[in-house]
Amino acid sequence: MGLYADGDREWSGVSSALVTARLQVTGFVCAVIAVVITAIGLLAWRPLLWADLLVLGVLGLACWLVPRQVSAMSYVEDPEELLIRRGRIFRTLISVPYGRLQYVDLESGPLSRHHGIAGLQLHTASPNSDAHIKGLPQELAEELRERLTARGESQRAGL
Amino acid sequence: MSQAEVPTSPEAAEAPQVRATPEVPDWQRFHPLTPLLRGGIVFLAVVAAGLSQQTDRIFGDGDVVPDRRTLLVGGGVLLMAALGAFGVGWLTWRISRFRVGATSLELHTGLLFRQHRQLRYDRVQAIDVRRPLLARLAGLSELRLQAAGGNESDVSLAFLGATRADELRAHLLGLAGRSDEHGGIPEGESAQDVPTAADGGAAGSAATRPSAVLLRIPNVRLVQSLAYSGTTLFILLCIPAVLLGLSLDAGWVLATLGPALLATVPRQAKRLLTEANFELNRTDTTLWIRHGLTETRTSTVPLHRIQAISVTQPLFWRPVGWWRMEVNVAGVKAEGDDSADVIVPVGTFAEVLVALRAVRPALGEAIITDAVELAGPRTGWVVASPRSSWVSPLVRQRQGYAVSEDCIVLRHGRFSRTIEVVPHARIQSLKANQGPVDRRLGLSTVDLVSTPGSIAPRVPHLHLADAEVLVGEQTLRSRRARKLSSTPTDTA
Repeated sequence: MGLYADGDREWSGVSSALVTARLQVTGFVCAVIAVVITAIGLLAWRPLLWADLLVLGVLGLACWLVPRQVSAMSYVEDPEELLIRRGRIFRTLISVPYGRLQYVDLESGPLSRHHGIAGLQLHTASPNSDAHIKGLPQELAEELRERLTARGESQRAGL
Repeated sequence: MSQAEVPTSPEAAEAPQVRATPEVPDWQRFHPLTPLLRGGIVFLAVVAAGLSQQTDRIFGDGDVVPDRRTLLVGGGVLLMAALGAFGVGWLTWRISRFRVGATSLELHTGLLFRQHRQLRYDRVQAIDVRRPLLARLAGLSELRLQAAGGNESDVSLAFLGATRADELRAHLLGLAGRSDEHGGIPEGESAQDVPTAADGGAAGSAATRPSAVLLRIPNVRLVQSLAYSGTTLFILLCIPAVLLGLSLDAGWVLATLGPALLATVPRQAKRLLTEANFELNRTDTTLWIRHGLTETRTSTVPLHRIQAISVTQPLFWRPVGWWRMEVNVAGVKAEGDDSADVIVPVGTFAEVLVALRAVRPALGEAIITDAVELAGPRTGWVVASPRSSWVSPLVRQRQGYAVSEDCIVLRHGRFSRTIEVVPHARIQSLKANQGPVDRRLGLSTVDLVSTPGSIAPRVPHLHLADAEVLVGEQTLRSRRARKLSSTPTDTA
């Protein structure tokens, strides 16, 4: 039963600031939609106001789901592979050999910079690898990127 | 080395440190007929467009006959367009040039937007020689170097004289076709690879044109194979329906079936055009594939660039026992180009085995025969967990994998059968997935991520413990295989 369990590895989680960042985005989008719905509802068709409840429901779901999702994200650096876990309902475990890394992108938008977090996107020769770690503290993300790139160089294998 | 940094002017080419290399790379032009051919294509397109407008008019309203003036104006416009196309083509030709450097191929193109492109030989995945119909008549070829990273990173050298193209291909293959994989290739063959790797500049054994043909697919069989397909059945059923609909004045029949026909008929026709005259061949380190009816195309793929192999048998081919073999080569899968990665368009099982042996010499026949014939967990096969039987009751016993020394073999399908072969050294990453249903049943699906292409190897619905074993052991196998394959000079 160990595939998605911790096993004997030291898994590192991601920053809980990602929860705040994600909820802020969701909250903002929900607020905009709610305002639009309310405006249309008041002006044109009263029953539409019930849809606001739906939006509230979505927001509630997000508040419940996002912290769980974020706490499920973790990674561990094996001697030759980087292992990434994510997902609560749909669980995924990705194992990317350092030697297969083409390059590593560091991504941080204005919001994540504000929260002091950044994401790493690992590129192999296949986009299906889909290996990314979101919500790392900025300094750690940069360190990790350096480390991954260096290991990628030293363990590089052909395509 | 030195010439990498010199944007060569003639004087710089004379500099002593450059002369030290055996071959001073010179900028070369393309064949002088290039603008004519390119312009010719544009011209034909313009004429076709003009004609189609005329036919619209003729078929639209029979009574409107184009008068002299419209004809004159139309003709003038056509002429201008053609001249313009020629002019642009000529100027582009004047500007375009390429250079075969020591470590990379450089290409200068673009009239308005200058482009300087550099392709390192160790990034070359495959080399194609294409001869479109017009170029074929003029005795010219296009040389296309496929690089990992999609269509945009390809470098096309068009057009070159046919012999020049073949020479250049041989030369480039000598530079690019260095094998980096030693695991699993029999001793004798890897010994033959060594000289090619050592004298990188010379056209080694990889480049020489193979003498005998390994496989030749008769066109008759290709036509038959296209006929034995669901698509053809669909077309055959559609045509009378459409005709009947037209005769009964039921427009909706045409409206619904017409688009479907328009989508399927050209696809079948295109397959026929591109997969006709199919020949497969192999030298020590490369695979040669020649095909095409109007446009002939010769692809050369270094064997170690093959990322995954699939052998499939559609339901309709089962009675005749035919199979189709495709491969994933990084960067080669072009959109809408269905046959870019076909190794055997339609072959008997024996022929497919011949092709497989050419691609993976160390892969035993037994494991492939097992993959085709067997179902259930026998002789080293691990199959989907019994708990998945209500998710996939019919195919469960077939879905599974087995491991050989240098490859992992996957099998799928009860009615139309598929076998996928992925070399351990070529797996990009491993991915285990588990959705809510899987979780309830204690199952997991494992992806062996390969480069983009027609093959996406996946072992579905394994028992969680089996999935764990697969991920763990495959990690170790791939580690070992990568170590065997990595060379001091890194590739790609």
